Amino acid sequence: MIPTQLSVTRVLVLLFLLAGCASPGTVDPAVSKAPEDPRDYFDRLAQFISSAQKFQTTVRMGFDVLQDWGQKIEFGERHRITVVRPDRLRADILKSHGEESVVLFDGRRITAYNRTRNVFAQTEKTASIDEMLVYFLSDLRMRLPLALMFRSDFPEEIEKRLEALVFVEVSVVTDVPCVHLAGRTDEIDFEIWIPETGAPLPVRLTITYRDEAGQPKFWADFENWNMAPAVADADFLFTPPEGVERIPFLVEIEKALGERKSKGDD
Amino acid sequence: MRIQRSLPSAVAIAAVAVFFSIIVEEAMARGPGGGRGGSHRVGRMHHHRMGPASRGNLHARPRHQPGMRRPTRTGSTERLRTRGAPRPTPARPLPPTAAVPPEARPDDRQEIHDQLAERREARERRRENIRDAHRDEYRERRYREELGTTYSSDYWDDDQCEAEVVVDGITYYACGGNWYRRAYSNGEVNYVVVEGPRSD
Repeated sequence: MIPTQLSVTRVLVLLFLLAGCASPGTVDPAVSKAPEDPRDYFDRLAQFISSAQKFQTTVRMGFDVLQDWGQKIEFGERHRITVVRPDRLRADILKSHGEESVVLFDGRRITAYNRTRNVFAQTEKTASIDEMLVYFLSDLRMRLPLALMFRSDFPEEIEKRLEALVFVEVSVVTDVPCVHLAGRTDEIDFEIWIPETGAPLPVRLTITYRDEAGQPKFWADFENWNMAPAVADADFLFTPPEGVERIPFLVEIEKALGERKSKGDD
Repeated sequence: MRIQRSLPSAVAIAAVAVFFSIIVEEAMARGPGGGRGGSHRVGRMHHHRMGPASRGNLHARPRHQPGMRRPTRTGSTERLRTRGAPRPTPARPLPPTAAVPPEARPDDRQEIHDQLAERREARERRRENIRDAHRDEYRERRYREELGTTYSSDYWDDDQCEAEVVVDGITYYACGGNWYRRAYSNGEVNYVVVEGPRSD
């Protein structure tokens, strides 16, 4: 019967995998020796990114979402991030179910445009990227994964949060050998893979939200780092396409409702 | 710090046990033909797309601010469908011994497989009927939602709405006795309960 044959095959595959997992219990220091203080690797990365005048990268990412019935389901996104300091940022976002959107910041305006639904929200904000990101995430309650990495104070911010950082190994299964580090803050666990040689730009990052129900995980694979992207000012400007509808940010509606309610209470 | 590389043996054993139960479940679901379709009917579940990990930030969710509404909640259409009705739950994998007695002959085993598959299908049909009944009930018994209640677009279904009105360039949706309009939050388009458009 076909299912039984498949089952046997799967069992063999699983046993093979488990056998692989059951090999030596700890990292062999002779194979993966910490070449230097893990903090040095991490600091170098943080300094390199934060001091870059401009850069572009494509980030494939996925994250677990715990469902009501107890199962964690992973969803994916692809972000193409362009940063030109001090005040230009663009994120082209494709979600795994096909929805496309763009976040634009031209130094004076923040625009979130959903190409699939042909709507956009926009607000005036004259600021640097650092200020814009704080405003975008906290005040507008929007979302931009890995935003901290795009800030110029990334090294200081991560230093404030970092509680522990250890060397795991030099991974040779990545495209280039990477130093694999594992860190902790008071809220999350993370792992990062940084090329052993060359530009200290992250290849992979995972974050585990250990205090959240189900300990969901976020992962990001970085591709096509370009530290000299050819970009123009127009790339950060929003030109409303035909038939697009402007919608508010939710916080604007909530603010209006709150004001109306407080007037009603008076 | 010593970093463990191997799975603890208990985890390995548990993985094998779970895997076996999945195999049995799958074999049962496929039925005698071995193909998909037949009795293995997986309905479309309404799932959440956003959670703490979707933020992808090096810190956990923002600290709770008093009076702050969560950006997304279970969608209105989801609530219309399932309020009071049992939420669809995936069938639990049965342990191999409970599903098919090992002493059963091949013909008997096949028969048991078929019976279990039929029962499962009947159970799914019953669940679906209950869901449909509740959906119809709530379509008729409309309710007013609090202004500002927000739903993720992942749950939104325009078919649930009776009207779509554009006033001053703003699209309003009339659904189940409430008016909604779209707003951006948490990186996605949401639907928020608002006052209806002014007629003057």
